[in-house]
Amino acid sequence: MKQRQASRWKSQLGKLPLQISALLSGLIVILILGFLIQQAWPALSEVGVLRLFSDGTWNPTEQVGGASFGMTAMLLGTVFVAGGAILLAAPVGLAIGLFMRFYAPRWLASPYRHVIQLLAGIPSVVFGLWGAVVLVPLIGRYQPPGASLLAGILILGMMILPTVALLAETAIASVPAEYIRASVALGMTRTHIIGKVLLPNAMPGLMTAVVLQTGRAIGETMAVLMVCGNVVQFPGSVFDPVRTLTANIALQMGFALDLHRAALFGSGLILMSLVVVLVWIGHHIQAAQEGSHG
Amino acid sequence: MNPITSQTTSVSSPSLPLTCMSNPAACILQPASMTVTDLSVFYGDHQALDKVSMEFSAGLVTALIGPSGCGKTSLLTCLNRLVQMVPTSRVTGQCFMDEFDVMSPTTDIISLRRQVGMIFQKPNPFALSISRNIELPLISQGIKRHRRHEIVEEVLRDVGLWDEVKDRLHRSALTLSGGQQQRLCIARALALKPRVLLMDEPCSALDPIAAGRVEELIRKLRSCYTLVVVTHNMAQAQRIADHVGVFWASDEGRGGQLIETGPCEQIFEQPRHKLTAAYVQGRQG
Amino acid sequence: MAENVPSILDQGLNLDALVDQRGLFWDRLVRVFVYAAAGVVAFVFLAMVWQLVRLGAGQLSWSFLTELPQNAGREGGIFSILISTLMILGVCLAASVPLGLASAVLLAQTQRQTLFAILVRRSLDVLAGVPSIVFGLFGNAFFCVYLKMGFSILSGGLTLACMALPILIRTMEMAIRSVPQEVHHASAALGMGPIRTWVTLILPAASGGLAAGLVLGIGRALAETAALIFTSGYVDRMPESVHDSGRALSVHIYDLAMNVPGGEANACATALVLLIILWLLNSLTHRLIGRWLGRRLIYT
Repeated sequence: MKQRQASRWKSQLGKLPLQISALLSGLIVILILGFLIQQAWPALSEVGVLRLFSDGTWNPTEQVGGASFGMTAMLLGTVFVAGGAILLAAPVGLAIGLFMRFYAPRWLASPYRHVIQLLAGIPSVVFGLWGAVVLVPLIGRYQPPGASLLAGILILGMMILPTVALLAETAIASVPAEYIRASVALGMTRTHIIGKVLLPNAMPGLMTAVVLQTGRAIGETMAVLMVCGNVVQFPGSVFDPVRTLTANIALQMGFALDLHRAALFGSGLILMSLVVVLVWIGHHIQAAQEGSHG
Repeated sequence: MNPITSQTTSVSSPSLPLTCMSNPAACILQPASMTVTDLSVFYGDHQALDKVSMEFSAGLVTALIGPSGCGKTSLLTCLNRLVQMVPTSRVTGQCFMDEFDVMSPTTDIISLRRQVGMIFQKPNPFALSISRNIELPLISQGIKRHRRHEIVEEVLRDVGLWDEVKDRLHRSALTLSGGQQQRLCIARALALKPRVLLMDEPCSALDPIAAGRVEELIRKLRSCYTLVVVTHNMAQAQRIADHVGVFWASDEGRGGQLIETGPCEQIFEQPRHKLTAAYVQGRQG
Repeated sequence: MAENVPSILDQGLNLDALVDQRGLFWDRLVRVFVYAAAGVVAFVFLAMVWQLVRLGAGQLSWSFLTELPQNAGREGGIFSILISTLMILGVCLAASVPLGLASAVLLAQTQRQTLFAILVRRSLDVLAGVPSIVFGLFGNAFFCVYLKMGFSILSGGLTLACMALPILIRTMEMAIRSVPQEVHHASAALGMGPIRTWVTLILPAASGGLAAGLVLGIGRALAETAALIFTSGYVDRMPESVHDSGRALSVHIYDLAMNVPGGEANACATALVLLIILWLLNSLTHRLIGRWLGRRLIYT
């Protein structure tokens, strides 16, 4: 009896370091949030949240006429670039997923999937490099200056495309094979099987993929920084340069002081809340899916 | 025109009586007989079926029995060419539905599969509403909504499910019990007005009472459809079958072979092959 | 009988020729779109890799790897950059692997239902989605300023550790969960203590998956740029200790491409080095996962 109690005590003791580690891992998010708020506080209290959106321009270091902290143009830049990228990557990614699963000739499907996996592992800075060295001059030849919203959308779209394609394939593959066998045995056509059986069943997985990759597109810094031209303005056309929130942080963190620095942390806070919302939506979709299967 | 391809138009014509069970005389499309000759099936290097020749007579129930892994399901999936969904599969030999070559590359397999329905071991309704399950393949054929609703009622009545589900046609099919799901799958197949119905152990995933109802349904479907039923249950084969084919896995790893075929009574009472005798007796007790 | 039929899911499905007359138009349309997408994507990415090779391969040589950068990186090699990268990676792994493994063991042990596990898991999901530039902000404020580590390899490595943690924990937890419950039961039935069970049975059985998680984490850390610019800095000298600032490969690429006119060739060469490392790690992951799955088959 005593021995058993001792061993239980021992196993509880063995568990303690594990619990502490898990707690630490869980606390990092809180820590990040806390530090962002603490660092952004001067801007939030002195400048006010409202002015971050209502100020027409972004001139945080201006001495003469007073500094201004308007982030709306950059927020819109982020939304345009990320939205365009996902509009590009979602349909094409779905097509690639279908290609790998159903349309590719047998000898090609596996090598093609392998190539897509390799592409999914290319770091964003390499996409940015290729964009800056090849794509931007190419666009610039037709519509100067080249570094533009369009370049950002294309590069970011390319960057998230392989992951969207792989996730789409996984979502399609998770549709029970017996559904497909049943529809084939019922003499349904390929378009009908894909459109009426596969996609509706794969939809939650596809939506989760799109939502999470949207988060990635919003948070991406390097690729966008290197090809978008980084001018703070409302873009009049896709050929105009834009600056995103992330690029703004990367450009100005190095020399920002006081309120300026606090405002940058404030924009980090905005980015983080966008991502939290997206993760929450993604979970909601997943939970609904699990609920409907159970 | 090849009747295998002309089927689509005749089914979509709204004036056709869809089912013939209530009135066999009104049956426009007669059940078809199927014949296979020297049929072998390979998956990659693995051979699943070895040179099987047999006939499935029109309007009769043929049961395929034998131990697991001797190619019965593979034979079944050749009859509607579902086998070719497995990318590595290869089939040699011939298969005819009446006089039409099933294996011919020019066969319209969509139309073939609408004429040769299949019921799987595990009930596999789509995660959609009950009526939508039956309608989906009909939409694929371009049948109008009004006609589809009639068909849903007709086939649900045919499988004896109408009274049980008529108030909840728009609930998910997954809310049905296993036996109801299997009957829904049979109704779904009947909606296409097949001439042959393949059943791969249709009762093995069901409890005895539900299995009994499906068996009863099989007996009702006889003479309106040609039925080919794979089963492991000797007693069931005896109850439902007109003809029986006995399969056995060959020793040389060349897949399953047909060792004996004949009328039901003969197989069970005077088996000619000693393996058949051992098999039916071993399982009969 | 079904056991003889190869699983349809393993090899994709053959839906070829499932077309009837009425659906011909739509089938063609979908098919043309799918093939066009596959072709264009393959072409664009091949073009991308080819152009990087064309611009950078001329610079690649043994001495590129063993020489120090000169003239702001336009000339010379990337030796000090490689060393800094390795040191950042070392710090990152030293911090994240013990923490990650311990958390994964705990999460794999506890039921999904406990509030603690749910909270930890949810916060890790959010952590996985946090933009890397936000990690950069946090690392700068917390490690560099608050903990007074300054711009150093230590700050950068610890920031990366926070970033790599979610993916590490998720894959490691999956690896541990894939060890069948029977091993626990059998071991308990033989009177083995929990710690011995874990160390001698569970963790070795999960080692392939654990290694795969490790390699994935390394890949994520190597690919990172934005979080490093304001934590480990961009000094391209040879670091003397983890308290020095050091420039990672990815930061080097960024700096050469954006801030150094005439640095494109070396930027592309560095990108090639990074890609080769990442792709080697990628194939290693696949081999590990493959072997791990193979081992799992023996158990089941």
